[in-house]
Amino acid sequence: MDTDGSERGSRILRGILDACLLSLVAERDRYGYELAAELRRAGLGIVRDGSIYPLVARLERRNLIEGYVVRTDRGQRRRYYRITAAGRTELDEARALWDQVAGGVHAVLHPPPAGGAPHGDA
Amino acid sequence: MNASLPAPFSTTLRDVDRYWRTSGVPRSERRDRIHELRTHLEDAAAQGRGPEDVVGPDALAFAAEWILADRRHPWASAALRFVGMLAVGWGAVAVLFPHLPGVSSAPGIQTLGMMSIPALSVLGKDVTQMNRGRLGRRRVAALALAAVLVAGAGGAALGYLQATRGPVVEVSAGAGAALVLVGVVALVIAWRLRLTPRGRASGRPAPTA
Repeated sequence: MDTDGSERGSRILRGILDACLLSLVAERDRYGYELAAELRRAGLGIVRDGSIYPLVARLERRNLIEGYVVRTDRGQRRRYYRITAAGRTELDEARALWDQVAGGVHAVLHPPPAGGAPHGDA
Repeated sequence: MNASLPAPFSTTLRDVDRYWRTSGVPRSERRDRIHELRTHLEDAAAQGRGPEDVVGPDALAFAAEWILADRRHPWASAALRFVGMLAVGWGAVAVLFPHLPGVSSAPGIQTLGMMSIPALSVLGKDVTQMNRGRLGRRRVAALALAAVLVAGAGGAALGYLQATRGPVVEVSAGAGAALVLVGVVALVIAWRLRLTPRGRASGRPAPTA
């Protein structure tokens, strides 16, 4: 993707990325690298790994998710995130809003083929 | 802290840790974040990716953005910290000044101006931190230089005022004590605003399921 395309993609994603993170955490508890890897796998590789942390922090501050630490076999301390009840409600609302916006944008960007003259022309 | 990480990763981790330490992030919270970033960098290194893929080209901008995202009302916190430091500094001088040997009057504007320098430095640092991502390294350096020049010019102006007009503003000991009290309250509120969910949740048990 060229620079302009990448910037446009980043701008579009900025408003919905928190909902994407909520959705990933709603599937199962996940840690930071996992979240970033899932976004890349979904084709959202324009998102830099680290940019998820401020978003996750905001979600945690709003009590939509909560973090806890698990020690792995290799001695690593992984911080996992799990969704809260308020997070699930927020996710439902975000999904409904996205469906509405995405449907509207698609209808505008892909209009049916025009058949006649513009309105008002004789 | 970062013995097993390759050099570029350990440098990034060290820079971020130093930035948080000098930004006043509480120790337990800083350690918690560093552990999280460290495991992320380890995973990235294992996948053959670089530290820039994780934190971007400016690691400190990343560090500033993450820390601010956790805080409630960062601007209010910075303003309260500034007001609190100013009030405590001025009030302490007003209370102590008459008891200093060889001093016969209340502190003048020059003394109060000098006492404002620490509060102004902290305010400058807070504002820079909040805009780090937008400003970039060069603008931050230019702003720091401008702040030093403005502080120097301000100090010279206050010195001139003091020399030509004498003490322009005088603060009594009673008013000084009240200022200290107001300042302490402002600092406590500012400190509470800097607490984050991460700090409050330390020690939360992991789920059993």
